Amino acid sequence: MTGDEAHLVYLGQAGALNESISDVFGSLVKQYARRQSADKADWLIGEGLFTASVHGVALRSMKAPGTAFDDPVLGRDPQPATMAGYVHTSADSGGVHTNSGIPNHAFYLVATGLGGYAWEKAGRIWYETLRDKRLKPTATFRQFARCTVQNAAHFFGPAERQAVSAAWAEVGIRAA
Amino acid sequence: MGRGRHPGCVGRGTALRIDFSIDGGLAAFPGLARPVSIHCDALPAHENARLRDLVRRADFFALPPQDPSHGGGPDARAYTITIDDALQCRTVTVREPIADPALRDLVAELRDKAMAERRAK
Repeated sequence: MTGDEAHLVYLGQAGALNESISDVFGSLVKQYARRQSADKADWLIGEGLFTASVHGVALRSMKAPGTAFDDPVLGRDPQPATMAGYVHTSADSGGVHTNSGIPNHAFYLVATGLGGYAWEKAGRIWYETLRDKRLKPTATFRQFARCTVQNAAHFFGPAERQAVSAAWAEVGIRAA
Repeated sequence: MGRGRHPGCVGRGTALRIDFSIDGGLAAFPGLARPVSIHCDALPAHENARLRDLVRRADFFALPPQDPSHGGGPDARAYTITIDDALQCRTVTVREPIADPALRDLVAELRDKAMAERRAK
């Protein structure tokens, strides 16, 4: 879905957005199937994939990036939750699976800030942003964030706009 | 890097040394991204022979530095392999899906060996 709706370059921040959006909608599908509200969801990506010998619960945590695993073989979950921990690297297409923790956490903050079912408002805002023609293939976190703020105002209202803006500010991105 | 000398290359002696690292995949695993060195002569004789045979069948020292057939795409893993024997040293990066069956077999074996090395530490 991410690849069909947008053509985000799989590199750097655009690549991390690509990864994050896939995590967002994967999590939303799980929450929808379980009829879970945002505050009841586990916000884990790929839980249950590890064998019992691995010290970890999942591949990633949107609620608490950087805490999904800490294992002698796999290493420690390197995901940052905010821009203060942004990882500059050439590995993994510029850290697409690492820095995706930042937009992942922003979505978690929006969803829990708005409350209720995450797919109703937060998910709609993200999906409309994914389809937004203003979203360029080389979009940065900030450009994506600004688009979500505009779509929150357009499809919902000032309260949702404020919630989205505040969530991005909490992860270190000024989107308003 | 191709035929150039890799910083980790020994370039002398008779031992076959292989440096192997994994980049990308479904998630960022720092432990898997760390290069592992496999010293073939330290392996049991049959494993040493099998690994050398896989290197020969893949025609590793004739491969281009970057596998031209790579598909890439999101979540595709890339493997960087440096092999140093008594005479030559070569670094090759290959990305999934790997088209050449012989190279695919070599990568699969190296992945297993690297995992065993990491678990032993």
